[in-house]
Amino acid sequence: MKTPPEGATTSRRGFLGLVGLSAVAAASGGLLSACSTPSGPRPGSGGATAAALDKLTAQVPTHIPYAGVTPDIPGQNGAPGGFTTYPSPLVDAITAKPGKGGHYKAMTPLWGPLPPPLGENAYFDAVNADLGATIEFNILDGMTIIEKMNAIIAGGDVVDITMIPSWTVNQIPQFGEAVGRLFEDLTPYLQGDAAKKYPLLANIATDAWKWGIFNDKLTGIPGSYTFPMGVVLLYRKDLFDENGWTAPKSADEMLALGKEVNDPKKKRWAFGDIKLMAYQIFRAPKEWTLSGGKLVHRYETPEFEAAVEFMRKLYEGKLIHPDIVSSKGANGKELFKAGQVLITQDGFGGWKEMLEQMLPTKPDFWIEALPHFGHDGGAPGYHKNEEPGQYTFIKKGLAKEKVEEILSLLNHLAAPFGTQEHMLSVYGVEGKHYTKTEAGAPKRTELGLKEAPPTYFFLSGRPDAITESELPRYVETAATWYNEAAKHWAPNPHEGIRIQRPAEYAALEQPTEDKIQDVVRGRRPLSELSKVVDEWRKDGGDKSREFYMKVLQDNGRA
Amino acid sequence: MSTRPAWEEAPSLPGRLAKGLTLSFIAFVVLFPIYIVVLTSLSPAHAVNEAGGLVVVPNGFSFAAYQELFSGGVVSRSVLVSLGITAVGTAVSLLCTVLAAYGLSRPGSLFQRPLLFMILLTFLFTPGMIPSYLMVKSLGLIDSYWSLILPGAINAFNLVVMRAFFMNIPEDVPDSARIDGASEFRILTRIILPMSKGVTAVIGLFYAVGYWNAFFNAILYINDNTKWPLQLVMRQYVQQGQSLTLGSAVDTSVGGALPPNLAIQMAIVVLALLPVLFVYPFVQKHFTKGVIIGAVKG
Repeated sequence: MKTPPEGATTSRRGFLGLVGLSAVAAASGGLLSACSTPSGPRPGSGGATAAALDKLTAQVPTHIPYAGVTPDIPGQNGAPGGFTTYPSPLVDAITAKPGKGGHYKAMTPLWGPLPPPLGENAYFDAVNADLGATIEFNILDGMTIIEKMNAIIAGGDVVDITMIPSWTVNQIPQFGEAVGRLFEDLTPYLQGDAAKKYPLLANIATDAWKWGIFNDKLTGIPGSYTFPMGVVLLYRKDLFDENGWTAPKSADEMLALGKEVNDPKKKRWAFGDIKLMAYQIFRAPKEWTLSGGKLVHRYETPEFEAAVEFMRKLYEGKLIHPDIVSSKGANGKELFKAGQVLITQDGFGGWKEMLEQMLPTKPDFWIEALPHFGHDGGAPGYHKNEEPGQYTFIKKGLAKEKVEEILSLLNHLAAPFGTQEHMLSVYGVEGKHYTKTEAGAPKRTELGLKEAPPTYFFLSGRPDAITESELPRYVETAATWYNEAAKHWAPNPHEGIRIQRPAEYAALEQPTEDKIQDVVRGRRPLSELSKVVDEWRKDGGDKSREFYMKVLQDNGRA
Repeated sequence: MSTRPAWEEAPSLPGRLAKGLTLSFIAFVVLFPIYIVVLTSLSPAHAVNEAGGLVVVPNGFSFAAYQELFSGGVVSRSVLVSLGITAVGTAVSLLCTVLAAYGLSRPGSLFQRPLLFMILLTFLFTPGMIPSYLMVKSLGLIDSYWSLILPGAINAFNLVVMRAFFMNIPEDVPDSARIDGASEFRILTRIILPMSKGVTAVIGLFYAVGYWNAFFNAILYINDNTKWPLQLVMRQYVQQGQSLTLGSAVDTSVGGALPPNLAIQMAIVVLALLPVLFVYPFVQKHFTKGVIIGAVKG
C-alpha cells in the first residue's frame, strides 16, 4: 500500500517554523528548483522599487474602517483591540442578503474533527440561509495541506473558493506561476474605490491587502492580520503567585528563577522549549539585519550567540523538562497545563486556548504571558509576522456575476467581531449551537462544538480583536500586553516584501538548526558555534546573503 | 512434553526462567502502550487533566469518549467507508493477484517474461505523488472510492510471493486435471487455490490491513468529506492538539473548535485498532506455512 512520503506529517516544531521563525521547506524542498535562480523579483513578489510599493497601494482596495463596533481597549501600534465586555446588542452590519442563490464549493483546511456534512448540519444550513447562497465545504486535513495543495495545483482542479494558509503558499514551488492560471484576477473588482461595493472587505488593513497581490494582480483576499506575534512566553501565574515567585525581568533573573523553581522530585521543571523566545529576548534578528550597508544573518550576530549560550545553560542546569529534552517538544502543552513545566513558549492563541480548556475543571488555573523584557533588562526585539495568515482565492473563469456573488458572500463573512453576521458565521444559531453567558458572550454547546468548527470563518479576513469577554481578566491582560509588545518589533530590512526563498537556502536551514541544537543541548561544545556558522556561510549562507541583498536593492532599500 | 526429540536435553529451570522473563518483557513492551491507550480512552476528563496526558494509573471510568465519538455520525460513517473499502479492496486485490500470479507462474503463458519484468519494475520505481494524482484525475476517479482501491490493487511483493508458491505446485497436478478435461480457470479454482489456502489467507490479510490503515491516498484523491475513511478522520482527531501552535499563522482560535479530550483521541485509536486486532489471531496460523514456504522454496 502507499506509504506517505517523508514529511507528510508536519511536526509541532515544524509548525512553529512555519509560523515564520525558522521556516524550512522540508516537505517540498526537493521540488523547489523552479525558483532557484536568484535574479530579479521573485515570482509573485509583486514589485521592485519603492515606486512599485506605491503602485501596490494603488492596486488594493481603498481602506474604509468599519466604525460599527469599537473595542474597550483600543489597539495601539497595530495591536489588536480588546473587548472586556461583549458588545450588545450586536450590530447588523449588512441588511441585504448577499447571495443570489448560487451553489459554491469551498476548500478550507481544518485542524480538528470533521463536522457533519451539508444536509446533516444545522449550522451550515443556518449560515447558508443567511447568505442566500449555498457554500459546500470540502475540508482538507490541515496537517497534510502541502501535499494536497501541491497535487491540486499540479492537477489544476480548484473549487470555486479556496483558502490557502500563507505558509502553504510559500512552500508550493510553482505557486507564483500557477496563481494566474488557476485563480481569478480580482483587481477589476476590488482596486481602489471599486471595493466600496464590498465595504467589509475594504475594512481589512491596506498592509494586509498588499500581500494579496501576486504577479502584479490582486488575487488573494487576505485573512487575519493583526496577530503578528508568532510565539509568546507563557508562565503559570497561578503557581507563581501561590509560591511567591516573581516574574523575571532579565536573562540572569530568568536563570536564577529557573534554578529556584526547578524541583524534579516534585515533578516540576522551570522551562519547556523556549528557544525561539530566547532569540527575541536577546534581540537577535528574525533572519537578517542591515548593519553598515551589509546584511548580517542572525547566526552571525553576537545576540544570537548569547541566546544560544543562555539556552545551553538551561539545558546544562537540567531546567528543561526531560520529556521535552528527549522528544523535541512533544506534549509540551500538556506538561504546562499539568504544572510540570512553569514557563513555556506557545502561540499567542495558545494562551487563551489553554485557559478555556482548563478553567472549567480547574478554576484556579491561570496563565499569562511574561511581562516584556530583554536579556539585559532593556527591551526585547520581537519577531513580527507581517504576512496575513491566509489567502482566499476565487476560481478563474467563473462568470462575472458569479465572481461578484462570491465577493458579496466573502464581504458578508468579513463582518468583524460584534456584528450579527460574525456571530452567526462563527458560532451558529443561538440556543442551538451556543448559549449566551450572563456577560452576553457565546458559549458553544455540544452540538456547536461538533457542527461549527472554523469553516466560513476561514473564507474571509477581518481585523482581529481579543474578544474573550467571558474572561475579562484575560482580555485586559492580553490587550495591554499586546499594546506594549507592539512597541518592540525587531527591525527587519525586508519588511513587507514577498520573497519566494530559493530551495537551496531553505534546505540549508534545517541542518544548521540541527547543529545549533547540538550546541544548545551540550552535544557539541559552545566553541563550535562559530564553526557551525562558518559551515553555514560556506554551504550557501553567503550566497543567500547576496540573494537577499539583491532583493533589498531591487526594492530600493539598499 | 513427549514431542521433544530424544537427543535434546530436558530444559533446565534457569533456562526456562530466562526464556519466560524475556518473552514476558517483550509482551509487556508490546502490550503496555495498548493498555495505556485503552485506559486513557476509558478515563473521564479529570483523570486526563491530572495525569497531564496519557493515563497510566486508573482513575475513574467512563464511556463518555466513545459516546461522544459516535454521536455525530461522522465517525460511524467513516467506519462504514473503511469497512467497505477494506472488503471490496481486498477482494479486488486478491482476485487480481491470484489471477496474475497463476498466469505468471505457468511456464509458456503469453508475454510471461515481459509482464513479470514490468511488475517487478514497480519495486524499483514507484510513481511519485503528483504523477499518481494526475493519473487518477485523468481516469476521472477523484472523489471516487475506486481511487482508494485501483491504484494499489496489485502489490508486486504479494504477487511475487504468491507466484513463487504457485510455481512450487508440481506441473503434474494441473496436467492430470487437464487430462480429465478441466479448463485453466477450473484448475485454478478447484485444484490450485484449495492447495494454497495458507498463502491466500496471509496475502489477503496483508491487503486488508493495508486498506484498513491507508489514509494518504484518501487525503489526495477524496475531496468529499463524507467519503473519508476512518484513518483520515482519526488523524484529524489525534493531531488537532498540534494546531494550537499555529498561533497567528491561521487563527483557528476565533473559530473556536476546542481540541477533543485526549480520551476521545485514544478512543478513536482503539476503534482503528480493533479490526486488525481481531483478525490477526485467526490468520496467524497460516503465517509460517503461507509466506515463508512460498518465499524460501521459490
